[in-house]
Amino acid sequence: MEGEAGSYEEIKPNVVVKQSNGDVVGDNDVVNLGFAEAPDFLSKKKIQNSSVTMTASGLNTTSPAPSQLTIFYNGKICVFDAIPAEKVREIMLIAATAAASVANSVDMKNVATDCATTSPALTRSPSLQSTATATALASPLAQVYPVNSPAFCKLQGELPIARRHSLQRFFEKRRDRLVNKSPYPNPSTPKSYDDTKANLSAAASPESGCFGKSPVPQEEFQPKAPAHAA
Amino acid sequence: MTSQPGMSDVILGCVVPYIDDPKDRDAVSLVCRRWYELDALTRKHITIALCYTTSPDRLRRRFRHLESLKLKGKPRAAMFNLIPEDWGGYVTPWVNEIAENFNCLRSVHFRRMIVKDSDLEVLARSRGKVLQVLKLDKCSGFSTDGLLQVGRMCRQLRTLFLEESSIIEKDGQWLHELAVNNSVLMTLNFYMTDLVKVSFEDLELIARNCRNLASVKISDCEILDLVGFFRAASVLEEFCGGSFNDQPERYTVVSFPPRLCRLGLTYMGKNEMPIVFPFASLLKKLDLLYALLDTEDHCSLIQRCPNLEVLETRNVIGDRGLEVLARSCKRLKRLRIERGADEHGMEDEEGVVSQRGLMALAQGCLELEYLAVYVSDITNASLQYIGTYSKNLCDFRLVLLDREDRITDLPLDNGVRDLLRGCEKLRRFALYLRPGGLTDVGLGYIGQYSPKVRWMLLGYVGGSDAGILEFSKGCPSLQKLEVRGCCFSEHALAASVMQLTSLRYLWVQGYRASKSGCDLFAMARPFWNIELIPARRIVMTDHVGEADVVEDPAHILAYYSLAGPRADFPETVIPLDPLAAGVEL
Repeated sequence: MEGEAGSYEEIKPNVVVKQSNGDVVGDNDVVNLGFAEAPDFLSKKKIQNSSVTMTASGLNTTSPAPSQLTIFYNGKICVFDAIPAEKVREIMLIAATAAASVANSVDMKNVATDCATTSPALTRSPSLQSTATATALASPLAQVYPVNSPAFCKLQGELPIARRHSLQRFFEKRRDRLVNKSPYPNPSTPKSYDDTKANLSAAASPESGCFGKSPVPQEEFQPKAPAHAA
Repeated sequence: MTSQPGMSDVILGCVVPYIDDPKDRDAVSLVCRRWYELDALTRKHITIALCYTTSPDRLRRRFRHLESLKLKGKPRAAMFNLIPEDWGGYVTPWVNEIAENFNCLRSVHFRRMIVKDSDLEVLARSRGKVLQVLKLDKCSGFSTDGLLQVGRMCRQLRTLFLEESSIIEKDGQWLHELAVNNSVLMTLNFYMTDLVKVSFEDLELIARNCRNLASVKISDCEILDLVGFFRAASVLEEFCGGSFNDQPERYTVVSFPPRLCRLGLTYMGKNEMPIVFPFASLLKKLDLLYALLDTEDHCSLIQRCPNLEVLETRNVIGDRGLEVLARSCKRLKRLRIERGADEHGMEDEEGVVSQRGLMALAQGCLELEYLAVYVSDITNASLQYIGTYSKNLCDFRLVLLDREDRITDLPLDNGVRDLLRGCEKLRRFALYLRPGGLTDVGLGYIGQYSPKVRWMLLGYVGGSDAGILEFSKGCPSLQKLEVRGCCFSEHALAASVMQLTSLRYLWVQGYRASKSGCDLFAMARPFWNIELIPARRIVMTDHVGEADVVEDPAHILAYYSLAGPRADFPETVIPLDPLAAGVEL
């Protein structure tokens, strides 16, 4: 692997990458770049800005040496030799974290700069943090809960029992029917159920013959006795 | 080849087509090349449980003569608003392959997938002459324009199923096209869609033209407008949907078709309920999920339905309603009790289900095969009852609601164990509790005593990594596992995956992240795709209709695939590629 560290072609005209002497060099600035626009290492998405044209006098190997890490970033190629596998994984996950942070949260730009140093997004206290890499929660939040409280308590706040979409929709429509019927809620109205009230509300639609036709307007309350059975 | 001893090709060719069960077919195809090829030629139906596990190309190469295809896209959690809309599951590549090559395909079922109008047009144009079944099941991305093409060109449709799909509604023309072009329709379903521009007169026309119309489930439409439809649909067996907006007395004029035995009337209240009484004793299936009945109403209606086999309702049924059910409905096979609204005053005070109702149910309804229930309280004894009495149970799902602080009897270790040991036919199992609901020992019991279970949802169970590790030593048949709100670490999850011998699909939301974030790679292996949906902030409407920004914790999704990582990730989903990370496989 040492001998394979050749020189590297520049991709962009105004970028020069120093030739390595076989050790872990390349462009040291890579680590400090802050990953504000981290490339998606993990997604095999096409590499930004790169047309990977190496001239013959440049790269002297087409296949990477065993523990060699190559990073394409913002028009630069950086190669690192002899990086242990665990470190590589860490770097990959930092990138994923940063990419995800940018992807999903506008107000998390300040987190991105942290990611370059250690990976704070990934080092929150395990007992408190239910979320994985690229969590959007800021670290102060983690201190609200004492360290020895069960992991669950935080979890249940974050993960209430999910509601089924179809039923959510039904509850919304039921509420709308009630509101349409009585836009001025009467606090002294007995807690009776929609069976009486909702029958009376209008489903508004101007088109006749269509499902949304408005019905005949109603009186306030219906008698509780069951309607005459046919 | 022909000189070898054993069954000749002719005999084999006669026998194999009778084998329908997918697992049997799987076994057949593994015997030898000859049997593999025969299976490939004669297999009629394929279900692809996750569309990214294979590719349209592979499907075509193996099963060119397929007649029926079911494809599923988004994770099940999408039904609970937990998955980004653009997650994936596009039908386009499949539709294109179907249009080109699947000449025998008559039945297409897409579930939780993204369908575009252009896809529908391609499908209708290429397969319209032969397509008999089209199911767009909880799909999204298309409009009534796409349905218009279907109505126009798919004149042989026996089944058009759109239930719970998100459809952009431009007009009601599609139903009209269906009405004028089709005379063989048997099943029409646009239940739980928000289509309002369709005309009931077109519905009536369909009923008149289609003499075999047996099942119709629609969106909200005034029942009084359907009197003509009901009169025309003389062989109708199933009806759901509609709406009650008028005076209760006016509904006495509604006369239902004579064979109607499966029913669900939206917004049906106490005062309209009696219109069902005359034929309640014929009812085999009752859908009260979207009705407006209280506990007393449930009791009153259910006791009139001795032949009921399927009941779906909300927990407003209450323990009292379950007791009536247990006394009256001895043939009950499937019971689903969903969670009611949390808002004060919207549901009956009596509307809670607990161990009391479950015990009555277990003892009374011995033929129960499917039970899904949201309970407010629970005991070990009630689960033991289920284990003792519900010998036919194949599918059991229990969610413990979080409103009550104190639950009578936790943890449920022994009850769960006894239920699993007693219900020997169990194939699907869901348990969603709370901290302290099930200890690591209990979780170990689940592993130990669920030999045939293929799908599981576990929520808020166990207490530490030891639990999931013990669990994963068992569950020999577990193919699909969903975990939510548990405290397991990445490392334990990855280790568990490696221990579960049949696992092919894993979904997790809520777990303990590792310091390096790399522990998930412990489950890296060939053909195993790992995806992350990082934590997001999403806007949810809460129970009073207000928009709320909610933290949605990260998800892990992992599955076996023959097709490699997918190529259509949205921004919200991140693949983990062990190769890129240099992980040794």
